[in-house]
Amino acid sequence: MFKVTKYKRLSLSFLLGALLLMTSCDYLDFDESNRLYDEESVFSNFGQTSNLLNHLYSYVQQDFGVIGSGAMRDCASDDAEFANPNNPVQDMNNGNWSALNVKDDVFEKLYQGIRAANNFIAHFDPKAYDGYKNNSAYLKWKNAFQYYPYEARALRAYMYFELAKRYGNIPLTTDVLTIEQANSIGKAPFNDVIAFITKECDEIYNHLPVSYLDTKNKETGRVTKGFVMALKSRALLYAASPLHNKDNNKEKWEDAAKASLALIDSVKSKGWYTKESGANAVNNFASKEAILFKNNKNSNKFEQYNFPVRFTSGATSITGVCPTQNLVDAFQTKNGFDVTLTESGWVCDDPEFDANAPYQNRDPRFYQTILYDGEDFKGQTIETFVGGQDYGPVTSGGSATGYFLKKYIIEDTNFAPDNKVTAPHFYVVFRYGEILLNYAEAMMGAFNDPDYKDGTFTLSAREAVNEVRGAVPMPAITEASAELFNNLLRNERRVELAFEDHRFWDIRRWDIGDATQKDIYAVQIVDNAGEKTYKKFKYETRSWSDKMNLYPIKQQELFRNTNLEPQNTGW
Amino acid sequence: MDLFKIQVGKKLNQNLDMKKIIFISILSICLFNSAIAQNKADVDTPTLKNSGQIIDLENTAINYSKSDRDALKYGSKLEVMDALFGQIPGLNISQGKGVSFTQNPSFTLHGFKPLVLIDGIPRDVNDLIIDEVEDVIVYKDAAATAIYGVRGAHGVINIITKKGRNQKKLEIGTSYQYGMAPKFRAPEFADSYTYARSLNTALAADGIDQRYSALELDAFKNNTYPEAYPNIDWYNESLSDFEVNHQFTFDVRGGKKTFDYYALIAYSRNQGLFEHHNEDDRYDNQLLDTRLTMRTNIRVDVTKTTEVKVNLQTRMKEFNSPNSYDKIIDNIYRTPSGAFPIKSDGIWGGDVNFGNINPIAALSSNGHYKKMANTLNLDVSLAQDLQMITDGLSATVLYAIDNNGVLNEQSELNYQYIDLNPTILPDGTLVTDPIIYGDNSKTLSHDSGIKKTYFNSYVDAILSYKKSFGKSKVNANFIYNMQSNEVTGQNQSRKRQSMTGSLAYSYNKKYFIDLVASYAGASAVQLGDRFDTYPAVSAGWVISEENFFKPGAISYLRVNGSFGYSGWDASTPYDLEKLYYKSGKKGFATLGKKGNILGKGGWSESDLPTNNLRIEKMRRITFGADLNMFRSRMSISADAFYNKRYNVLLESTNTTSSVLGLPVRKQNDGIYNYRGVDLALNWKDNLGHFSYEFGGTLSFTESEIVENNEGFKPYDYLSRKGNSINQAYGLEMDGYFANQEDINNSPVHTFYPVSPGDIKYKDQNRDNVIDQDDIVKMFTPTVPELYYGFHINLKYKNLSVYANFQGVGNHTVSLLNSSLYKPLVNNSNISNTFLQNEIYWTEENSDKATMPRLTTVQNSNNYRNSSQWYRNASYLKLRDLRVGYTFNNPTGFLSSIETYVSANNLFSIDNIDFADPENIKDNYPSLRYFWAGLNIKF
Repeated sequence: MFKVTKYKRLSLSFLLGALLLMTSCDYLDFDESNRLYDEESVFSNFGQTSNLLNHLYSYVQQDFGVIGSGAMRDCASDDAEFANPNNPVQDMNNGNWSALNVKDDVFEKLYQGIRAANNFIAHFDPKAYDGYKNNSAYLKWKNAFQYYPYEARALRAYMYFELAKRYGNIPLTTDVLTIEQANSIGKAPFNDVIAFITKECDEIYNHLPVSYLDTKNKETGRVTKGFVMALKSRALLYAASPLHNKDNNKEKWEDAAKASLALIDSVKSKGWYTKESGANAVNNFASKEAILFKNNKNSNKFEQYNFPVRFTSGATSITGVCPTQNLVDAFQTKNGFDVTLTESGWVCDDPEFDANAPYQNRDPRFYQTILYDGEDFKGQTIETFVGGQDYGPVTSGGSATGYFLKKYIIEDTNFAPDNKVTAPHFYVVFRYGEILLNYAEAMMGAFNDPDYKDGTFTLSAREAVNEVRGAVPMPAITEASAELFNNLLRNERRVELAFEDHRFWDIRRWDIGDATQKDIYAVQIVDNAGEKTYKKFKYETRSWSDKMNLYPIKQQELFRNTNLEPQNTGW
Repeated sequence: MDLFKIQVGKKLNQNLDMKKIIFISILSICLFNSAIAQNKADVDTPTLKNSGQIIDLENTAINYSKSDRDALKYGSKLEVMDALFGQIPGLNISQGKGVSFTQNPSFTLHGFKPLVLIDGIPRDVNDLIIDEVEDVIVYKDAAATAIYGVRGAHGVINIITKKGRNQKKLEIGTSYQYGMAPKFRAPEFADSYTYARSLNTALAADGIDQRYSALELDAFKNNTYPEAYPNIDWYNESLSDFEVNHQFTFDVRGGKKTFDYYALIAYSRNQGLFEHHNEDDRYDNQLLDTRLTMRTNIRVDVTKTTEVKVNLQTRMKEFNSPNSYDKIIDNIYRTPSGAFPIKSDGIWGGDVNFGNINPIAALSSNGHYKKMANTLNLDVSLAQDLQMITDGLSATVLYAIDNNGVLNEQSELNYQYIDLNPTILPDGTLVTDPIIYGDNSKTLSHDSGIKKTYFNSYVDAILSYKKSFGKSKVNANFIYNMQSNEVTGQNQSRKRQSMTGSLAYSYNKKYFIDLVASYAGASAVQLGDRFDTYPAVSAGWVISEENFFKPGAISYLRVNGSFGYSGWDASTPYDLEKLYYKSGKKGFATLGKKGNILGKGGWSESDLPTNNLRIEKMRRITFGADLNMFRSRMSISADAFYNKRYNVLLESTNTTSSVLGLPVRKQNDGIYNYRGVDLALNWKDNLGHFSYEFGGTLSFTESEIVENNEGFKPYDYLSRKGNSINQAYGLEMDGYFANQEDINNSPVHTFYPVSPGDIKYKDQNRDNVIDQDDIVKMFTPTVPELYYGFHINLKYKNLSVYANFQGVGNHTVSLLNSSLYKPLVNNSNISNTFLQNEIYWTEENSDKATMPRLTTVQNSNNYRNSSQWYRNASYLKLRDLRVGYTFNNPTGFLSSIETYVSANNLFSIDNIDFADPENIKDNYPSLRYFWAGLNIKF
């Protein structure tokens, strides 16, 4: 017999229990995940890290029909009308635009880009690749990633500018947010955002190269020193403009002028860029004027929307972007005289102007921008006169205004199934011409004198704008009156940068929407046996309200985060 | 597969570790035994009665419902749940659908599919046949569900299988049942003339050219060219008139005091409706479902204080059918009677516009399919009375392994079909331009493999203390449980672990209180808090035992209530907690050296991981009362419950600000409330040789969405909060468009271009546009809120009559589930069922129309959920009817023979006359069952 005391029995039972428990503390561990790359592995693999930065570039905005189904943003400005009456862009013109019916909704997209940039900047560490020091490609990587954090910061500053120019006051953060933070973050005022952008630009521009062709990694399309300076120039100009500068603070204008001048000086002294003729930079990867392109692969989608319908061999039945008579009236003759169309024909002071051939001898930029009646196109002639091959209701291929789009269109594109031709498109994000015009405008805003210059501002407004004109070539502007000069300057901007996504923003920051956006005109051409008569008529009256100077924040966003209230005024 | 091997290897090692522990514990208990056995006298061990069972049903506050043994005895079909329609309030059972092999009845307990235990172990109810089942116990009580920790939230059903007993005589029985099952409410398809005329009408309404000329219509009508212009009733050509069923069982039950056993062997064979199954002599495509079940439940008193139980069940199922059997029903529904002949010139008929859908060809010449599913369920338990430590203490260790494997074998054959391309010339002659498609290789290609397997293991170590102190009874348990469910495939396996304590105290059989606390975790949560505590309390009071209670009509009255928490981990998927990066995002394009464009790929964070992942939880509150009246002839029970389900994983994009900059994964934000009432009433009495019983149950369940992360809704009526979870939604219909002018004067219908005869909808928000914002709630939920049943059980001497009715109410179904209501769309069929029950819109009968115009196009204006398509799907069905006669002691060696006839699904009273209201989709037909059987007891 073997005597077991009560305590021994109890202790043995506890031991059993403990055994059972201890050996299965990790019983519930389970991991059958398949190829999930976590943060640590991604930021220590060069290829994946550079892909993270590549992704930031996808947030650079371009406009090949960004409002939807081929409609460019300029179709919501007095520069163009989109032919399809059912396209979303019509809502921006007919009063249906609202917080429940938003357009060009980049709020979510750009904040995704901003988070990606914040995340990249927070985690990027060149030392993580030290393990690859003996790898043959290491030097090439090292050369590339010295710029990486600055490229990310430059792109982030650009993204904040894109948001601020649309929405005004926006949430501003350099942290990677959690859900609670995102749902409670408040808005920073527009001027704070611009101040942030300026500060970032000042801190990083020296760390970026002038051109990647000088570096080991010859990838064009990346942000450069010039890009950062151009961004600063544009941002400060927008901040100084009447919409955001209600008390007309001259200092803001001066800051804008200084920023533009910095880039102009570098161009003049170091030859970074050259002002080419008019819009020569468009679709031209060899251009010396372009500061940043957004490159696109071969495609014919843009031409499919915008070619006159008979050239698309059945791919679409409605044309797209139709430049307005309002825009055509902005182009002078090549001698520098204004041309205007009235209800009873053309009016122009140029003695060489022929009212029966009104499109001859115009500003060379006219031919880069607009496809007009009588022009040769793809071996045929454009016929927008009444009864012509390109005439008719918009739903069956006619032009709304008598004109078709030429800018960014690649004429050689073809759709016939046996002879399909596509081409790459290069969208100009910044070019030198804009900087000169920015400078001129800033100088006028600061000093209200076209010829003013001094020790700091070594170039006058007139000199800057005439550099743009001279390159076209167009005769210099000699107007003395400051007010009239300003109008001519604004007109110059409209003509030089047509369809490069400027007009829509310019009329807003100049707060001239009410005066310019309501009446949209077109031309009616009647061909009387070879002799054409031209008449202006009103195509449509758009509804404009000053609240449209800023985009509405989507109602859903205000619901999700009540700290984003108040909504932009008027919406 | 490699991953699977590694995982299995790792898990096997863990199982081996577990096995080591089990052996150690068993060994040590045996050590105790051998030492003490000689010391104690011969004592019975009431402590070990129901060892392993945590809840003592006779002395607990926990509210439960038990099935009626007669209902189980009289169940004619194989599945347990088929015998319990409307028998247990709260357990809503609905008929199975499809071929016999997969025709398992679906059931919910207060709106959820509950945890099913077989003898206390989580298993699949489809593993059992009804002959193995003794009782079905349904727990809706908070304390019972808390015991099951992370698996209890949706309710628990415990199915107790038959066990042996200590009885003088050995019970041996055998039974045989033969059944024939004809179709119930089969559709009737249109003959080819009607089809052709209707197709022409539909094409005209769509603005497309007619398909059949007048001469061709005549050919259909007069059957002049039976091959080129055929008239085939595919439905009845492919399906025979009735299924044939054989069921055979043999069981043995017996035992002595220290040893009892139950053994069963059962065989069943079901022959399905497919015809044309043996036209190729290499295989027989007959639709067959063969099952063999064997069970042995043994209990042994190894010593006076040790008990060992072994329950072993194996089941083998084999399914035999034509290859791609699931497409054959679709083909039968879709193929018009005039499309093509069955065969022409010995080659299968077909039409290139319809594709390869000749149903008879699919039945006989597409190859053969066989599936075998084998299950082995084994549980072994050892219970040791530990009275040497203290009286009433015992320990039990239970170990269960379940293994199931499904293998399939397939042989595929391709066949040719001939498209006759007939036309009729103006003078009436037939011209055919036959083209043969497909290949005629006649070679069978074989394929086989494991479709799915699972391996479950379950370990319970229970320390139990059962003792009576005077009038008080105490039943305390401490349970440690580990269970794993390993399934083939990535992220399919699950593991759970828990420690549970339960204390049941009763005083004088009058006051009962149960306290439960379970500390349980699941492998579904990896990084967050895996373990949670689930407490619960249940209390009962037998008022009729109180001194103040005056017995009158009411002989027994008890009230009880419970409150507690439980969890449900199965709805939590894996991989929600990790942050990871993904490729395939947009990058940018740069210029290559040759001036071409090079794309550079992009990577980014995929989405934000779930914040603080938890498993779904349920807070349960129940109240109930039971009464027996009129000398216990009548019993009534009523239960009410109010449950809150929270931590449900939901999409959260609508409530997360875009400023976050990432899509978010599901968050545990969902909250839903459920409440309802269950009632059961029973009257049992006998007058001499005549005994009768009437019983009825009623269950009403309502649900409410409290939080569903729907975000911003521009109009109040679009919000789903406060609505039932299964609420039906749709557009409100406002008649049909009479003509083009009507269309021009109505709001713009954005779903599809409309023509006269299309459905006109009401513009709810008056924005002159019909779009998603006009969808409103309508009618009742798509899952029945009301479920009821009643049964009659009569016995007179040797005759027994039994009938079981069951019905539902507050139930809506959409006719769009049936292709019969979308006739001719996308080259499909039209049925007489549709044409006789409805009038489709034409200009002539526009005031009588009940359906929109015929169309051949997928018209998403008409064919979308709206008040046009919702129907009241309430029904009342006669589920079982059985008449049996028992001959007692007919000869020397037989103790009784019972002969019986029975029927299932005899009739249905409902609103959906054209189909079985539980089976509206294009499915294998619903059946009525007629049985004749014999039960012999030796």
